[in-house]
Amino acid sequence: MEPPTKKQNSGDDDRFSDLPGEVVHHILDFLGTRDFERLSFVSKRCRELCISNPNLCLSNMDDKSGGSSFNRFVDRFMARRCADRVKTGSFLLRWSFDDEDDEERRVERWLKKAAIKLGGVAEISLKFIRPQPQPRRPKPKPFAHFVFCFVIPKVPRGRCREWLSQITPARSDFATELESLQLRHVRIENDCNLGELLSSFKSLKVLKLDRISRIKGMTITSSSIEILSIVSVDNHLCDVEIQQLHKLYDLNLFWNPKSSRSLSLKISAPNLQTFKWNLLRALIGLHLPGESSFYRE
Amino acid sequence: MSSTLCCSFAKNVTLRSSDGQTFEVEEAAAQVSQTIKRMIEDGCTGSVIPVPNLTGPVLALVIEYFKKHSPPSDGCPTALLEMEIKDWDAKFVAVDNDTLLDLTLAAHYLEIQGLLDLTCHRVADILNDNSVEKIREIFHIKNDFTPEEEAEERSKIQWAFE
Repeated sequence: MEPPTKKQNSGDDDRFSDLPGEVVHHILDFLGTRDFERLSFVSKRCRELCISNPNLCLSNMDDKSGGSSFNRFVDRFMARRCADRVKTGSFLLRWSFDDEDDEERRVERWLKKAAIKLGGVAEISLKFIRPQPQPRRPKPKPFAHFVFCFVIPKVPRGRCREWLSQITPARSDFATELESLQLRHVRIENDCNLGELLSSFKSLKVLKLDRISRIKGMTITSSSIEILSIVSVDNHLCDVEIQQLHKLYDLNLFWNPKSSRSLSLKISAPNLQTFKWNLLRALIGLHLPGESSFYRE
Repeated sequence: MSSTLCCSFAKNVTLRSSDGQTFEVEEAAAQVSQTIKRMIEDGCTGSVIPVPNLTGPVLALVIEYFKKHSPPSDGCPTALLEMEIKDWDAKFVAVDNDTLLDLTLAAHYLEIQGLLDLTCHRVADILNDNSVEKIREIFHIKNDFTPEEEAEERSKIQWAFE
């Protein structure tokens, strides 16, 4: 056990800086990003404690007043984390993009720093929004290099709208330790090869695609996935192949295809235990025996 | 009749602070602390449980917290009771900063998750509400940046110093 804490001290001691690192990190969990930034300017020890926090939560959504100076702060902050080899446990990024041209590149760099350089992140949660495009820029530029993008359909102040996102195949070293991935409200462009992207996540166990739209077909082959859930909200999706998911035991499918004629569903998952699907508004709960299954309707 | 029965079952433990003060508290209440719970399970109940990290006044406060947060003997906590506890919690951490940090450390050493969340949240609120210089003043944090470094930081985020 630690030595006894001093009896009511003189009142001039810096007791905050003496708090154990994990206690300060717990305090940081309750701080907004801007307050977190401010704390890192209080003293060198405070800055160290901010940098070593394993749970990153960065957001510019509540207060955009910092603008580009805040971006530069995050640049330096992420660089320091990299230099100190701080391991990221979870990374929550809520970002509202403005018209600054290189902002997308910046955010991409932060993600790479957190996810690649430091050997992977166990949990990533991203929420990106883009303000209503200015008239002079009629079509929002999709991210070309983001690995995954989130869209929040409803955001405060009604300034934002659903925003096109494009998913491109990841580099093979991206987020190899990612275990759980949830994509919500994502519009997936058809030229994106979702299957190839997902197969690069070697440790992915839980994959939930919640309220995805636009995508017509997907092939998922990943030997590590155990739980898979696909919920599609439009009627584009009509072709799903789930192949050789040896560890998959829980599968949940919900989609509403345009017509049953063009529908194709193939599942190969020898260890499947629970299979729920909701197709053409008919809810069927099936429990499959532990053998390969094949369906075509 | 049932109340006497209940009392005869309510076992007490004695906790001793770093400065030798002893406090008697119901075993069930003291088990709000995971550290104490483990000690009780390991059979420390016969004797006095030493709590060398806490001074008497801090331990007295923590015991107040134990009593308020011990599991109710008669069934589930009601919504009203939960609201009352929330109010009580808010008042409990409305203390001077030294005591607040004492309680934070106590919650950490004794593994009292509820109290740790409560105190950390309170410290975060104080950090939220104040400028860089005010934070230094409140927690007596020495500014160890050189004047050059300080000037550079200031130019980067003027707003944070206001």
